[in-house]
Amino acid sequence: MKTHKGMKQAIKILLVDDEQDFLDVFGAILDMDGAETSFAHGYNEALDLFEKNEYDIVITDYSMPGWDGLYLLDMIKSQKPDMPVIIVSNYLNDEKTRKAYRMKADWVLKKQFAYEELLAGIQRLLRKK
Amino acid sequence: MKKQKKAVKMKWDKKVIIERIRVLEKLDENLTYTHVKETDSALVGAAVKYFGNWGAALEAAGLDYAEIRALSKERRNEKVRKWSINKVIEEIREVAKVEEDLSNAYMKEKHSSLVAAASNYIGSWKKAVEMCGFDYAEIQKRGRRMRQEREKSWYRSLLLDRLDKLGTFNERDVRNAHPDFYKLILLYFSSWNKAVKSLKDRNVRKD
Repeated sequence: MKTHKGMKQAIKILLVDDEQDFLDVFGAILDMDGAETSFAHGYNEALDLFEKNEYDIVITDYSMPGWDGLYLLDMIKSQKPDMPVIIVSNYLNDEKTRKAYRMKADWVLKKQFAYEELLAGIQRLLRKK
Repeated sequence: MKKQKKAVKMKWDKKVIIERIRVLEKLDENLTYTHVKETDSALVGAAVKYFGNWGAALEAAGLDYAEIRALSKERRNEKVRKWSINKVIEEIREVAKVEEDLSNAYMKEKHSSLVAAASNYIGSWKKAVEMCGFDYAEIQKRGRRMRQEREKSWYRSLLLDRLDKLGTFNERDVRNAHPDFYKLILLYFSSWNKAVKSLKDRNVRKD
């Protein structure tokens, strides 16, 4: 376990997004704060990684092809109901947000959020776990 | 960070299809063939392949397709009272006065009922905006560009936040300790010095 400024221990995060730039940027900065991030570009890769590895938290994009973000959320929650899942999206309206919470998302966050906001949210969800 | 480079192909089978249909039902989505084909064509394609047709897949998921179609018709009739072709056109022109981005992706998120009405009454969002006299190809191009610019600006800001938190501007130290971060700094700012300058300028503006 490493000790870092942002996170007190190396937490394992599965980052899922079909946009490589998002994965690159968040992978790099979360790792600097002591996380161990894994990348997936879509539902299949994510599920494959999720079933083969142990994670503390999953951060997934909502707007992947079809309803893949919510299908993934549903699959994760059916396998591990206590696994915190954060849904992020470029555009969020009330309906989208309501749908994500209905599928038991732990937090729904609009992209363009501040990094510290995400860090604080991750820590809050991990404390609740 | 651990990267998985090889894409994993979707493994469709009857169980997966049924699970996905049940998710859509939980979301209270319109489950008619036409609607799901628009929102998740891969699911419809797989359902047809494994069950013969969309209705049979719904029945296998324990749903009554006749009831779903009747409900959809009822909903559509309700919408008929709210919208018309003229109202759609009028609303698009109003929205165009305040929204810079009229691309399909953006509008679907920000004005979903308008896009749905355009699709129902005019056939598609593309046809609807063209009926209003806009160049759809140009709109899409502009939308993509705007989104890329917004994202780039966000990533730059996140990288500066993290650079600020590092407490050192020593290029060699950062390159050695955080090679992935360093590469991103070069990618988004073209040089280490430009990134440091951007951060200093930003902090001055904040003060």
